[in-house]
Amino acid sequence: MSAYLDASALVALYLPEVFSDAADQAVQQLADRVVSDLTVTEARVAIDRRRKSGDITADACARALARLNQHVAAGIYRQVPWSVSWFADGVALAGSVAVPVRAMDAVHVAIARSLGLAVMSFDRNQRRAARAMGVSLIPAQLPTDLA
Amino acid sequence: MTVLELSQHPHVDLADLVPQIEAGETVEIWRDGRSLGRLALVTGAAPWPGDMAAFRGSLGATTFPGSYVESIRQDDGR
Repeated sequence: MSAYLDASALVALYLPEVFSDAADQAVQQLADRVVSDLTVTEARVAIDRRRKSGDITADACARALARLNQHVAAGIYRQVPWSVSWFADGVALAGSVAVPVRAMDAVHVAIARSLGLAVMSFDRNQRRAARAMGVSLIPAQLPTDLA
Repeated sequence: MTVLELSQHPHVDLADLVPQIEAGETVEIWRDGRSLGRLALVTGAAPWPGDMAAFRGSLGATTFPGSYVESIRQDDGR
């Protein structure tokens, strides 16, 4: 099974949050873990933002970033080359559905759709957008007490 | 591995190599005695490391009560 990993999935894997166990279980099912420059950039910024908000120590932040960078370099993820057309694809997709969609959610979902992949996401807004755009979700359901 | 020297096959259509690639064969493309690159089947990513729960536990960080990325995207309002 293959999936496009959103930043919400990546961050759940590297820092503890309520979806971390679900992220572990889901990612272990994937033979092909696809990320874009946008996913990795968002994840790096989010990890550092937890440090800046005083939520994690500088050491924890540095270690999480180092582990993520190590995994990207080692080919744990397949980083696809960026396509400028994904912005236009996102705009078109967002315009094609009735539900409100944030710009970057539309771009992420457009990337997954253009690659023929499901989206692994723990962002409920993005999941709603993906569902409206006909893109499969991983996990199919969030843990019921957290959804 | 098969070596394809383009100077000897100037009219070759690389799409014709797809069945060989799908069968798992690697084709190295050469031109004028110099290797240009290889065509090969894309295989799965490296195995997933099984120690992520322990890694997160070692950070000494509190568990965020939701998706952190969702929360900051809400803050940014994009």
